[in-house]
Amino acid sequence: MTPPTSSVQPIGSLHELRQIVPTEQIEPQLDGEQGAGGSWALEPATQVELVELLKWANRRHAAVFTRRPRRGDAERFGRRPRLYLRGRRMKRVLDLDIVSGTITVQSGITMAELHNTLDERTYTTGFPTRPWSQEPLGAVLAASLDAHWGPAYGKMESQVVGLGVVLPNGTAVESRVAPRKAVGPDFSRLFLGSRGRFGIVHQVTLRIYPSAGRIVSSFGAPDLTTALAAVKRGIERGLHPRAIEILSPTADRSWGRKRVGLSDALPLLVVIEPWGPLAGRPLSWIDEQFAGALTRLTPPVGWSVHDGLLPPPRAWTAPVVGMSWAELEELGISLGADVPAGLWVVRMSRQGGWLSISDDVRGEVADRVRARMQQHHVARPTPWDDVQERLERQLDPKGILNPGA
Amino acid sequence: MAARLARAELVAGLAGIVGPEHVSTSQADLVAYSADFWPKAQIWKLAGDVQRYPPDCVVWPADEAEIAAVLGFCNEHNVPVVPYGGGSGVCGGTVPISGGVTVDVKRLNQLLEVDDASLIVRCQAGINGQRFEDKLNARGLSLGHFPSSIACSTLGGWLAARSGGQFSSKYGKIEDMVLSLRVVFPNGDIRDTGVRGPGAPDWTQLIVGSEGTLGIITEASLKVHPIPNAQRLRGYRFRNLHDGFEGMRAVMQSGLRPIVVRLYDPFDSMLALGKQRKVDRHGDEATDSGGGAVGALRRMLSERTGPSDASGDKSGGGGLLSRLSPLADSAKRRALTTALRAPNVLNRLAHSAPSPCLMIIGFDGEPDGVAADSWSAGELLAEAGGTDAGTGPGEAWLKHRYSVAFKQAKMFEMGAFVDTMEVATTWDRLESLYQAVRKAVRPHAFVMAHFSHAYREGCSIYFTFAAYHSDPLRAEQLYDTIWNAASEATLRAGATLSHHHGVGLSKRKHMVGEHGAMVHVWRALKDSVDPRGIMNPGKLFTDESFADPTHGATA
Ligand SMILES: Cc1cc2nc3c(=O)[nH]c(=O)nc-3n(C[C@H](O)[C@H](O)[C@H](O)COP(=O)(O)OP(=O)(O)OC[C@H]3O[C@@H](n4cnc5c(N)ncnc54)[C@H](O)[C@@H]3O)c2cc1C
Repeated sequence: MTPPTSSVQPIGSLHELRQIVPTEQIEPQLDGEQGAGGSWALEPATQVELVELLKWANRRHAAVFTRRPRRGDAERFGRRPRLYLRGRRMKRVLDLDIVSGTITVQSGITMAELHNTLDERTYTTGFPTRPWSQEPLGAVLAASLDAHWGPAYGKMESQVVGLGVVLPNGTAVESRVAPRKAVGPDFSRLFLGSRGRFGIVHQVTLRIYPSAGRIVSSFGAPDLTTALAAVKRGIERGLHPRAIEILSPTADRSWGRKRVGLSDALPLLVVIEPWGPLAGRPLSWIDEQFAGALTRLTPPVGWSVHDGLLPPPRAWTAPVVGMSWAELEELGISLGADVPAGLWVVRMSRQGGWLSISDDVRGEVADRVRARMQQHHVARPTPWDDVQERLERQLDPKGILNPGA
Repeated sequence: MAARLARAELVAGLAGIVGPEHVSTSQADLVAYSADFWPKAQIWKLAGDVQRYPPDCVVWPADEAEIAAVLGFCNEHNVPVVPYGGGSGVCGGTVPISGGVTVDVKRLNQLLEVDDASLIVRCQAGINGQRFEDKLNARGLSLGHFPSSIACSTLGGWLAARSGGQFSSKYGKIEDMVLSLRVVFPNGDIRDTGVRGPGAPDWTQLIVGSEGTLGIITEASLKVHPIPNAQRLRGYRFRNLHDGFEGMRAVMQSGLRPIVVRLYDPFDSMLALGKQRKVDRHGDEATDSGGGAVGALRRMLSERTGPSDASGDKSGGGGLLSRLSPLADSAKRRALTTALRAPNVLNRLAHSAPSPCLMIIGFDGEPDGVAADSWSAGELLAEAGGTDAGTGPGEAWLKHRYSVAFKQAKMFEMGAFVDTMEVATTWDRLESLYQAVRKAVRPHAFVMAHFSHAYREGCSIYFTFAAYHSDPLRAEQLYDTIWNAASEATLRAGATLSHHHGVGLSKRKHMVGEHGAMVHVWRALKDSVDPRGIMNPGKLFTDESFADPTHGATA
């Protein structure tokens, strides 16, 4: 059955929307053909407004997007009214629980704003500070962009201990905050990584951590195999740092490469960020463990290793794939003494890490890396697509939320 | 919808899939599979109702393909399916309340792959927990998951119920260890959660904890660890619970990673310290003396049996019975029932007992790291007011952590019952949760608690309650009253109703209170993969849960 299209003219819709969100928070989008259902960017501020907007959208068979308008939307969604939601007014810090080490915020807060708020109180999140700093937390979680602070913090998703979501039919749901539970599946996981297909995340409770000064130990390695062996041994001896990364600078970062102390003989940088003063082993211990196998480097204090060696995150368009430790070791063996520029292994744990190589690096060695990454490409359709579609039909029978995501 | 098959047709159909020798309708099997370790089912049995909910039959498929065929067959004929691991669940999760086929997965017991380089293993879900650990140990590895029921539970059961082990503070619960799963859905489709495309949710975490209501887990990939070279446990005494909480929290939030941190409330501390004294006396089982009612109570409960927590402590009254063993049965019964008939008095006596609160903390890893971490933890605990109690309490706990009894009969034979409740919350609510649940249960049952499974942002509380009613029917009502009172108090305090035992039948009534409108998500998930509702019907949520899901929205 084709769902009914809106019988209300744009002006009528606008009037109704004004009952939900203040007029000044509604901005008409002049992208539609005459006579279409209308298109507006809206800035709700509360869960209640979100609920009402989604209920309205269900009544009017509107399309609600949590992304920016795209060319072609007008054509694609025909006479359906379109609402583009912005999170700019949903940035409040709802609770900072220092006793339990959690923060509850509205999802429109950007990563930079969140970190600034926490910094003032000497806390931080288990999320990366640099990439996506201008992205709202909700968008980062909906896309499940992942953290480079892997070993201690785990996946970004596992930093979430509570979630407030509005379902496509306008029902508000909230998960109970607890350190661990055994009361059925973790339903909140449905909304993390699924790009807004199943609901709009409006509130998030995250773990927070004391922000011990960011000290980084840096070592140079002659090849990937040596770097991996040193990291493996370190973890086996009790290293439990905030982050471990292995990277080689891109060709256009030769200045940074020199500054950090890398050379042709030592093309790879191994970065270890200890957790803090007590946990894991202290810096002196790390030095002792790694100095034997690798070469201690001394990048200038306060200098950002990433900015100096790799393209900015927004320019990093290359795929990033998870690889087990065994696969990383195999890659190391296949590369031998060759180290391509722009190689990046992040979020390393004893089980493996995430591998990427900068798009603009060419050559046979880089292709060898890409060929291995290709093996991990998840082909469409995935075996879960039908389950996902059925779920979407259950939760959003009218196809209101982010249709065609 | 197809009508349900006659039993003969059902058995014939299943025998065609798994072979006749792997289908049973024997009375012994039907009784055995009619209940798990849910104490309420024991109450039924004692009231003469030995198999309130028998399955129509039990099957033991050999592999994933047979499971898929069994589910496909049952789905086609609309027959309920109850997945079954070790049957050690304590919430009625495997009780076939709608009859149907109990699918015991224990024949899927192979360790399939060990990736030593990545410390990842792949294993079939029906493997017994201890066998799995033994196989890993033989290769110098360990899962790090040690539920007290390790000897009688399976990997699939752990995953299905989000089990927690004794060393969860460092290694996490089973949901922290699992990387991916293979699951068979009711239509016979087999899916691997390891395949996660862009824009997809984490299916693993949506299947883990589903208690057999979505599909049957056949395999899992899990993180493992090298067996640690050193382990060190130590006891600390605190003047009161509050100081103990602060110490626990300080350790967990410092970033130290103890394998275990346990804090006992005053009465539970008395039991634990009593146990230590026994160990000090080289296992001398002689009764600890101690004056008055509190001494008697301590003697009664110092060897506990019943459903246990992940930390190996037994809850309940088996100790009571062994203490009373020289007495005649009727005298035992009288002593026990008299005490439990006045729970308020008993609680007051027990909790006025002057006892410090005992904490046990332990680390594992490389010897130098263990020494350094133990020292750092000691400093933090001393700052919080803890005094070193030496290695004795830790050793005693370690020694007894598997001294669990898998029979509850004796305590129940006396007409009394015992159960445990493991709730969890964030640190800011922990103390008020403890008080709220005790207050709610106190009028109905004897109650005590300890705090185990500590994490950076909170901790679990493990309550044990024991009660008695002379009339078995009334005993069942009393049991429900206690659970209702405790559950409502937990939800009001903003905590979760279960940290590691799961929901099954016992907590399903309170799941709307726990999840609020999130039950919509559950319904959608269930309808997406099990539209006919054949998988473990009636578990996790009641059908009424969906009538008005906004009712009882989260606190
Ligand atoms: C003495 C004792 C001590 C205990 N100690 C602990 C403890 O320390 N920590 C802890 O967490 N729990 C403990 N428990 C509870 C129990 O052991 C756990 O809940 C355990 O996870 C159950 O595993 P099982 O294999 O016995 O599962 P079962 O009891 O057989 O089943 C439990 C649930 O999982 C489902 N299920 C089982 N296998 C599968 C599968 N392969 N696929 C899908 N669904 C499946 C069942 O349908 C049921 O809903 C204890 C129990 C006892 C009796």
